[in-house]
Amino acid sequence: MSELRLNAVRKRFGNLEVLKAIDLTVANGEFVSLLGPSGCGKTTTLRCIAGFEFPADGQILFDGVDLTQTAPEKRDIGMVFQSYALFPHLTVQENLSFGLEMRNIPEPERKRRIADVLGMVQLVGFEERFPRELSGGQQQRVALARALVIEPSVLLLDEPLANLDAALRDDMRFFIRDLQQRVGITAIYVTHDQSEAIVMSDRIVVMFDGEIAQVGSPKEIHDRPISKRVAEFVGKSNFLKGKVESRRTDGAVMLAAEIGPIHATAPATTSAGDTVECLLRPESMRTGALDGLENQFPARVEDIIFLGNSVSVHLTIGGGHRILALLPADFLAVPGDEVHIGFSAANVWCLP
Amino acid sequence: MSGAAPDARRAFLLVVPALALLVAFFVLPYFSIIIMSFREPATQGVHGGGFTLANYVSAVGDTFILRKLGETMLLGVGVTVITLLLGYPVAYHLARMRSRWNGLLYTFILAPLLVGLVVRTFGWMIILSNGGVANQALSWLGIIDDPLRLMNNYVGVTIALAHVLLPFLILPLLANIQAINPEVETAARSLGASRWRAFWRVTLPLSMPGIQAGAILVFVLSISAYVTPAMLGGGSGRTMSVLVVQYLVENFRWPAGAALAIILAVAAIVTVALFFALTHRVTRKLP
Amino acid sequence: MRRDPGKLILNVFVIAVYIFLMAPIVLIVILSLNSGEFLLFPIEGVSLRWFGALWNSRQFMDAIGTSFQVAAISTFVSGIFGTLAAIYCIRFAHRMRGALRLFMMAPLLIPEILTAIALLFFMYQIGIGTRYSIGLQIGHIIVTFPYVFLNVSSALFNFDKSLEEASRSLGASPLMTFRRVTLPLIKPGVITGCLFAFIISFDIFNISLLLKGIGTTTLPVQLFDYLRWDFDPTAAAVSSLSIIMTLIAILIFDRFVGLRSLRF
Repeated sequence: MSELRLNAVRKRFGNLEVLKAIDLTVANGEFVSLLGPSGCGKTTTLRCIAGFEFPADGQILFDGVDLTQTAPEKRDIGMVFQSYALFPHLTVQENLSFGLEMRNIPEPERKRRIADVLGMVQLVGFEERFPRELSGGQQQRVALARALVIEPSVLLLDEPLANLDAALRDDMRFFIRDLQQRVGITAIYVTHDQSEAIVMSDRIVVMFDGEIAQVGSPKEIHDRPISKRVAEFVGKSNFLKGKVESRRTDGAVMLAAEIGPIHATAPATTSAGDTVECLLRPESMRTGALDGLENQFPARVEDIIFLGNSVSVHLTIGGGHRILALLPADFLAVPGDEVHIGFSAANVWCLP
Repeated sequence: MSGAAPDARRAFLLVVPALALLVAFFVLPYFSIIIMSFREPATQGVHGGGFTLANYVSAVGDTFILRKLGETMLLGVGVTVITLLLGYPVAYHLARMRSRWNGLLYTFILAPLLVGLVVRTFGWMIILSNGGVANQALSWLGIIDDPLRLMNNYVGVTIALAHVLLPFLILPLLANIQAINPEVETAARSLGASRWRAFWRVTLPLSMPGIQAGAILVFVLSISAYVTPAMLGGGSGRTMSVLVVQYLVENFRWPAGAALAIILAVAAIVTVALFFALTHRVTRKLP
Repeated sequence: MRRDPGKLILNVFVIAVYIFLMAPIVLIVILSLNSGEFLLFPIEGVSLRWFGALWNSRQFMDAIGTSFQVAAISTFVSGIFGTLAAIYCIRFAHRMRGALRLFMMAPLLIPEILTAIALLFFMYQIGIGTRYSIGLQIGHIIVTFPYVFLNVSSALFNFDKSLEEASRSLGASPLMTFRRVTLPLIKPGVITGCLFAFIISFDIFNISLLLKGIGTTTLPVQLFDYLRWDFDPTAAAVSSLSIIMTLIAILIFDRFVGLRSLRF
């Protein structure tokens, strides 16, 4: 287990600057996700940490020890790959044994540790199978077991769930998170799927164009994004334009918005008179009992799409502004109906 | 015939020309080699009236022929080992390379294969002859005083065959290595294997089918090669194929030549089977 | 940046092997332009005189003509037989597909010298012998056939069958579907196979040596015979001519179809 630190890590491929001075600290036992679109540098960052790429500049420190130029096999990492990268010519047992053999761990100890970790990933009895004889989910768990059995100081996961089907993917999220918590290992998880990052992580690092856009807890990233780009990447969004009329010290602001006056929340940098754009998440809108919600508007239903556990509703409010709301599945209305919607001031976030 | 599935029996007509061609001029002729090898030799005409085992008996009892057979097999093994040592790194390098030079390098491998055999062997004559490019270069560098004998022996044949057959080793191996997920090697390194150990424990075993295919191809082609040993081997570097053709074309000893050809083919099959048995243990586990 | 000695050694080794692969071919082309009398370095000057000598050589020009003729006939026959057989194998043969494929590929898998000997004996046994070079022509077809078969098979194998189903759903008959959809899409495979067949036929040696009729000889055999007695730049000129022709074929081909689609 250890703390991981990246100091101004830079990397370029030819003329393309893929990492522009990445600074990041991951605490012991923390689960951190690197989230971003493809080509944002998240995988390159992970490969620099693993030692498969070497930064042009900057340091990578494991527990304060500079390992920037150290070969990957000397870094004490465990890695899980998108393709699983199980050795097709070795059985499950032999796959797990590989890393232990590289560490010259004696046979009885190897056996004991493999048995332990197979128990953890619920694959006892699969020792003699070859990877091709396992389902995708089982292969995934073998890959996880293989990375964990060597008891590395950091666990690196490169989009490990991308090749699984949707239902299995949901299960595996909780499985991986739970396992990481039980083992107490520091984990870095690369993904482009925001819901995965939100469900699994202690902290999320959002990356765009080789730079870190925002670092924060899943709730911060989701509810208090630092920019419109982060907001849009992390979830479905409505944006409301307006002018700040007044501001209280706790961040509560009064806004003259296009749809009418609304109560909102703003960062410290915002002051009265500023023109701002606010984020309103579709899932934070309510209908029916609106007691205690600072903002309430009449709205007209334009169309409804049934999603199974919820409905996605397009509404027009405040004289022709279309917004999207995600409402409980028991919302009964038809296009053309007039309804009342409400949302709390805490859920309207003025982007800095 | 719209709507109805095409009649499978009528479709069979498609393959009839090819089948007829192959049966008439490929399968039947192979029977005629076998028959010829049991014919009595004759001085008038290509063979005598009766059948005999004498052609095989005299070939197997002839120490010269046995020595030639041994030399040919050794040549085959030598060429196979050399092409493996030269070809594996090239195949691996090209399979793992991501660059715009990729296509050009592929052409470099393919082009020699498409340039005629006689032409390529002629190129080696220019290089290996007593006053040839290799000897010129070596004496210019001051390494040798008298020219080395690189031609008219097995040295020249081995070098030229390795060159001629190298693409046959590289191409199957290239396809094999390209099909190996490069991440398994990365995974091995993440588990603490050095680059060399990752290669030895993971990539090499996984490329065994490619090695097997390429090695068998090169071995069979090198022991059956005629042009290269005939042009570069001279008297001492004569292989079994050269001997067979000599029997057929110069001496008109067809029955004896047929027996030699069959002995060579059987020896090749036995060697390939042995090789298969030896490498079977490694490839058995592979998908 | 980290230095990587392992990678450097690999690169140097690989470059050396590429030089080994290309050296004899490049040398021939250079020496064919020699204005001197011998196949030796340093060359005395650059001239096309040996190409002129080639042009005036009756033997070589005849051999080139024969090779072209044999290669053209082989390509034509193999092209048709190979394409039809591949269509049957991939589309209609089910139980026997593996065995049939192996049989069609056999001439490629068995050493050419054995096929040449077998065919020589057989032609004598059926009383034709080496007259009219019939055996030679048949041998060339037998050996080039698998190349067409293999390339068309792989084109058909990678072919998305739903395209044919789409055509049928739009009202085209099976024959029309074949002509308008399947054939255009497998055309690269057919072209590849035919080009390959032509080049291979041009190179075939053993069959030509054993089955050539009196007075007819193909280019490789002529060059082989010439080199037994003469060792002068005329041989280099004819060699570099065939190298250049092959290179042009490869370049044109790479332009239109892509070398990677070649199948062995």
